[in-house]
Amino acid sequence: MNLLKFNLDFNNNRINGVGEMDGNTLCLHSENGDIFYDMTEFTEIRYIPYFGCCAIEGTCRNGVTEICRGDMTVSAELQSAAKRLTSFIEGRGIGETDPYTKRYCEKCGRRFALGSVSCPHCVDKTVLLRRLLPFIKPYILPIALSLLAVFAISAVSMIAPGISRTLINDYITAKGIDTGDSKVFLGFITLILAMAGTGLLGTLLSVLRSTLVVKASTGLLTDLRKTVYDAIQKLSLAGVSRRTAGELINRVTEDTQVLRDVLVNDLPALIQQVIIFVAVTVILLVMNPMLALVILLPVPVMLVVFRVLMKYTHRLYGAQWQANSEGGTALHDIFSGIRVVKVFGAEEYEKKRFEKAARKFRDVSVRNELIWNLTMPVADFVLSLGNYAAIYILGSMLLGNEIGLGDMALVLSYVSMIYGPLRWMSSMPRRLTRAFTSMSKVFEIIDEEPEIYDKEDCIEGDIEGNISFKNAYFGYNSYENVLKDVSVDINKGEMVGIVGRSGVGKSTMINLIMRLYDLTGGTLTIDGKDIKDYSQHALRSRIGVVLQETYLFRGTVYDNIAYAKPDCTAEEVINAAKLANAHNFIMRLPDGYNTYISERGSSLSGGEKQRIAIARAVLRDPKILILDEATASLDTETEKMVQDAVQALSQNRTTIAIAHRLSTLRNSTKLVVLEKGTVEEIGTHEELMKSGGRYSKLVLAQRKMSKMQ
Amino acid sequence: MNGITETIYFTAENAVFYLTAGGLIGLKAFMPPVGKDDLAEDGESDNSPLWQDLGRVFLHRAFPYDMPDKFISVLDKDGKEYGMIKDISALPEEMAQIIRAELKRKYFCPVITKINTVSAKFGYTYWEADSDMGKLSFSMHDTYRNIAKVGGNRLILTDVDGNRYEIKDYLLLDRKSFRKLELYL
Repeated sequence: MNLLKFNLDFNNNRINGVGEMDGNTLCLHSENGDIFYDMTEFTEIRYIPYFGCCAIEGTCRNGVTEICRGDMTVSAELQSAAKRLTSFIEGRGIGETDPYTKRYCEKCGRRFALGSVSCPHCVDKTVLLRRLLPFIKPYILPIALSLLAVFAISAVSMIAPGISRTLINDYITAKGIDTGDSKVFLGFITLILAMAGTGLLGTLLSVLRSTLVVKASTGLLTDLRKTVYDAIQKLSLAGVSRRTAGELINRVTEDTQVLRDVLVNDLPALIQQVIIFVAVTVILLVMNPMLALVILLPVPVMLVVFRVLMKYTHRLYGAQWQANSEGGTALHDIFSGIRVVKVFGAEEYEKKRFEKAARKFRDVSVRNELIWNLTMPVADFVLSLGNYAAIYILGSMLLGNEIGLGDMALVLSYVSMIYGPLRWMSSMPRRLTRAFTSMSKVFEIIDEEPEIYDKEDCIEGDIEGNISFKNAYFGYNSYENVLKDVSVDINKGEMVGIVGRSGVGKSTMINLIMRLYDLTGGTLTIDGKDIKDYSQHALRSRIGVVLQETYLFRGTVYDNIAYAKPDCTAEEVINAAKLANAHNFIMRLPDGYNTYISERGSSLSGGEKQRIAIARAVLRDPKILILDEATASLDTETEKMVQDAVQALSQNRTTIAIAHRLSTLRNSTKLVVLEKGTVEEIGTHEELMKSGGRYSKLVLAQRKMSKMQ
Repeated sequence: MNGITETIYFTAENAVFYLTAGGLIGLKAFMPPVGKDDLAEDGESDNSPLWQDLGRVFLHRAFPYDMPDKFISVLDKDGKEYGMIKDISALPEEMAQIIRAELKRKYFCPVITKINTVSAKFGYTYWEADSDMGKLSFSMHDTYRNIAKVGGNRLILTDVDGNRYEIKDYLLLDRKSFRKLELYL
């Protein structure tokens, strides 16, 4: 069975190797020959991440051996292989390949970033465009109407020069017409009115078009944003935390806006410009092919110039955009860390840092603008050469009395109409590139399969609060298990404390109970049923959580507490606040429960925020209450009061608490001591103190510390 | 709490680096006893240094770009530091060689000598380059942010997989290569 690929030898020289499992034997084949390992001799298999490379190591009686190594391109394969080999030597079988290891395109072989599902290089543009169609569908009527308006506007703008030709030829330059003749005068007035009429018609059509477009585009933008936002909400925590908040915000706001612009502005405009260009060209060709050719002569020259320019400035524009966003990032960084900046008196340093970013943007922009400003006038002049040629030809014809002055005016206005679309279209490639980039980013989010999903017939009902881990394994990345073979039973109504040093897996256990992640091995059951059988919403609505870092939303104190249960009554909120020992301090605030909490609750102290968070958690009357270092930032007295509250609350519900201050956990009915991802001890405070294990040592150490204070 | 800032520096006097049976780096050191657990009760532990075989150890550069041969941390398999090597060249040649070989195995970073093509599409860039390890072909995402300037004109490029590539001095690249790289600096 094929197991792994590796591409470096022991001393980091390039090789091509594959590894396969044959019974108990791991066979490695490469240019350096075949190597066989009897896996039953190994007691431990580890994936070792190095710098730019990684390796699988095995421990056996003779010590540690490196089994194989590769660069980061095969790191996912090696991680998965290490996990499967570990499972094998622990007697759990070799298992299946990880489904998330594919990081390269099957068509072109190019590699793409983690989190992407499709190859950005091979993505088909027409497929992307076709996928936008469903978004347009609800607005098909206004968009179609605005397109019709576009046609009409083009037609009107084409008629106007024709009218002025008649006006000039038949009246203004006409010899021997009788100005006193009312019939002539009427014709004259009619023509002028017709000109005004076409102008008015054009304006009305433009207004109609804009109104339609605004309606369609705001609706479309809202739809797009809603879709992307929903997709992000559906992602698992792992899927969200893989990306930065800034990136996600960008996708919801900016990328969708780019798409909207393309759909409702650029595409219709492109159609309009193409229509005008083609129509005018045809008219000119029909009128005078020779003249048309002269006029169109500079066009290919122009196109070539633009093409060359585009190729160069396209990348410069990228650099400009980047420099701009770097300046923004620097600002964001400085302002969100303004306290640190002030405290360390680093204003001068930060000023320089921002100046540097601003200067970079300036330099790139100057270079960019200079190129455009140097070439655009020249290009315009080249275009106007066609214009001059046309004037020469038309002028000779006029002098030879072949045409009238009106004809000349007509052709000249058509000439200017031809060059307009050309200039406009020259910026089209850049807009389209931007649009396609945004499109692929948006669809990448929409297409991502959530790693945690509800079963079709999931349980929506209530829970009792019996939690049971059985031989549970879990790791945030696939090569390292944070929890190993954890078996713990937590019964309804118990208060369980989880103890252990930081990074040992305490919070991980809680994340699993909330089902923010799924186990990689073993089972986790709630009331005897697998946690995956419950709907995520039903499960989490029965769990109340207070985390070490509280997050308060912008809004009033009341809003923040009621967040857990939007349909609650004021009495419930006050009760919850009293339970959390928050009522008293809230009542000391001038605005009571209506006090507005500014961003992230900076106007409240750490302990106050914490108590609001506790009130929020208990408001739901949850069956499972989770306190993850919830009282760490409270003073001892307040903590005591909160503890009493928690004690009172823990009747009839399962409480799970993590705390470094072990005195907090004294009332627990059960203590679970974790060490290196496994359960080292389980028992009550008294039992564990008697047994003299890790817990008793920790308690003694902490007592000594508090005596020193 | 004293001793928390005290670093053991391994020298020829208090350390012997050797190759284990598996060809990996091991350490025998004269130092206070390495506890199995950090919860040893006070009083009963004797902290006077003695020679111990620590077995296989891991190395990690404290200043990988500024001082690759100085301040090398020596760690156990869980990442706990035993001590540091202040300067490799101050150690006996035999030991220095073992350490250099281990560092070479740990830090894998081909040096780019020539950039053949760079193409950009949808926020990705695709690179074809020559290096001291032969031809390279890799993809970069968020290219600007993944080219790090590390002192002077040295660049470290990180591709989508996390592979690292070094450009020793971008001003010394040939003109064509430089032109391709320039826009991403």
